[in-house]
Amino acid sequence: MGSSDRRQTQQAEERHLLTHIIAHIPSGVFWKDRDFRYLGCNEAFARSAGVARPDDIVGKTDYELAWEKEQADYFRTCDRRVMEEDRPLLNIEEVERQADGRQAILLTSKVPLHAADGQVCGVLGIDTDISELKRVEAELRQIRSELESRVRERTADLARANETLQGEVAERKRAEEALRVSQEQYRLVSELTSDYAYAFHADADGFCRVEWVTGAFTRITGHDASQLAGRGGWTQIVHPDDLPVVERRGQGLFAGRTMVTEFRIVGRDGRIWWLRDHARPIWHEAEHRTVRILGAAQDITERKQAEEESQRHQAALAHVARLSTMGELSAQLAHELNQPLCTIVGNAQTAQRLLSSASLDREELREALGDIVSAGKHAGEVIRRLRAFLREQQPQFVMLNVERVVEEVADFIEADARQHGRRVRFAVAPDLPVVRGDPIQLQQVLLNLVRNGLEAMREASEAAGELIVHVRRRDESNEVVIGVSDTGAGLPGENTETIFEPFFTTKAAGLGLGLSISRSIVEAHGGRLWAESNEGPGATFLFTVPAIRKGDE
Amino acid sequence: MTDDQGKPTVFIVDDDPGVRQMIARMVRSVGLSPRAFASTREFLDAYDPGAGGCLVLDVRMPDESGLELQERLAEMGVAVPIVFITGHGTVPSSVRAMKRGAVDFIEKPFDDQVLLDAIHAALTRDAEHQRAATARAEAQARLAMLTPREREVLTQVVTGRANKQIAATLGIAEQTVKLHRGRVMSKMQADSVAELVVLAQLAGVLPASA
Repeated sequence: MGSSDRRQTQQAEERHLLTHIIAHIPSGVFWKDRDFRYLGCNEAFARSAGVARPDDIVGKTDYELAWEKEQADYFRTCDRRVMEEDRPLLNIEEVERQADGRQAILLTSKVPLHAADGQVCGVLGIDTDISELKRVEAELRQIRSELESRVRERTADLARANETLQGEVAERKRAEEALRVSQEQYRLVSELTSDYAYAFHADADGFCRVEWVTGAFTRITGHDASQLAGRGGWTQIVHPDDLPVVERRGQGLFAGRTMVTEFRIVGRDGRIWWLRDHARPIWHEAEHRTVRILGAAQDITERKQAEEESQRHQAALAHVARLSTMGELSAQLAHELNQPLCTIVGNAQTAQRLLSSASLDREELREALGDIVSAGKHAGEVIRRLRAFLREQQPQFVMLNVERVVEEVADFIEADARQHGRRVRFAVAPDLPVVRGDPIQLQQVLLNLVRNGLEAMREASEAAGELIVHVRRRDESNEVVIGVSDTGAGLPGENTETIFEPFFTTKAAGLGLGLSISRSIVEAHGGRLWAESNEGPGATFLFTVPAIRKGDE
Repeated sequence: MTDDQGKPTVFIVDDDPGVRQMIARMVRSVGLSPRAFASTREFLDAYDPGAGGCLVLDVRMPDESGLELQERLAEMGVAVPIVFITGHGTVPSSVRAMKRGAVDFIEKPFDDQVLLDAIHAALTRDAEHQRAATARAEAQARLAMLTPREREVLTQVVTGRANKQIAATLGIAEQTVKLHRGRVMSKMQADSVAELVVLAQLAGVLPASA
């Protein structure tokens, strides 16, 4: 084959390929001449233009095809532009009505065709139907926008949920904080007002198991909490005298009643603790029994001790108060002894009379003697009571701070003074040595002297006078001197010793025992009681109590 | 006055039973008639003011004191003589009691003779009261027998005026005065003017201090 054959074959192959391409390209391809007449197109374009075959389009203009006039104008304008400017118009989007009536979106590109001489001889165009593309694009856009909106929604939801969550977290935090504060308060209250708290679990048969006991229990009593377990196990540490109380407490709790009780616990070291226990049962309605016991106990040992001491002190003070009013006592005593005495003397004398009468009335005599015996016994009773009363004066010697002894009856002295319309002044030296004595008895002496002083002042006209109680130390004789000075009438005569004798009294109502008893008490303490006249009006009664010498203890 | 057997009554008021019975026995032993009470109320419930006798009274008793009873009896116009006894013996009480007419104020324990002497004095005083009361009643009875004119004459006579003066004052004849005077003396059973004066005082015509 010659080169020209080869060239022909090549050209035929190229033409064939080109035709193939044009025929199958999915776009519409067309070409027109300078007069805007179609020179050819492909199948795709032919269809869209509304011609049966590509050959049928040859020689036609746009105005003879499927599209509307405006569209044809537009095409022509584009064509003209392309050919005149000799420039391509690429990728123009246009809407075109197809032969089947469908409005398609086309992407059109038009390029000028050149003849062999390089002059523009026509235009080549490619229409790609991108309707589907566009549709898909639109769909995608739609989907995307939907997605975006959904995402926005979700995001908003999430944000809201987050907010809610945060709100809940904040709420939870607040609640936790409140709980913490509340717990702290409870703990504080519990620690300040009670010493330990506990929870027990109670079985149907009364067996109690410890759920928890706060540590203070062990700290106080020295016992281990586990010892509390078992049926009544903890009663082992209860003071035997208080077992009935604890028994009642248990009964009450198992019957569903809150029980507040006070009882003693014996600590591990044998020390006694007074506790005030507040126990509350948890009642189970269905099982009709107590299932748990909650409680708290408070250490009231100190309070109980103070109460007991106070009671003792009250009793002692009442005792002293009784004694200090010797005046009232002795008047009563005098009367009580006088009646039987009168009966005895009178009956005895009558008996004598009866015996010396001519006719002895035996019955009357017998009765008189009987009455004498009765009266005598009655008087004996009175004496016996007086003795018992005085016997309570057995001294109990202890180490004393005289200042405290005086302090304890200061209120009473002031009250007595007030009742007599007088003022009392206390002058107690600060550096008193310790003494040994019975505080109650010494107070009795002091009160007796105070009462005497006040009564002496009652008779005196000196309205402004005050009673003075003074206490000082006297080192040269190693003793403490207590004095009561009044502004009354003063001591009688030169011999001041007679006033200390029993039954001496200047008072209309009084046995006159106060000073003699006081002196006995003071002398039993190893001291002295005496009286001195004041420089001014009135008298001073003084008594001493020996101080403890170092080495005497 | 006296009891059924003619013995004077000694009333005893004391809240102590031993003392009460002792005094009653003592009183019986000298032939007098005791009546004992535990309180002033019991005494007042049983006492008959016209009865007379005397009262042995304790000063200090639970409900009403002896001194209060003394006051009450005086208010009632009862003149029973009182002997006070006391286990307390305060000076003011005794002074008060005596000023108000008590016979005596005795402290316990007392000697029996002291009490009996006081009771005796009290009964004597009571007898005198009775006598005086009787005399008064008698004088008043006699006075009631006089006519009004005789009354007038009596009034004049006891002031010591002579018949002549009386006649002039009353506006009657002296002879008439003498006549009335005679009847007055007779009815009043007076032997002398002095006696008449006494009777007039007893009857209440003249004030007691003449």
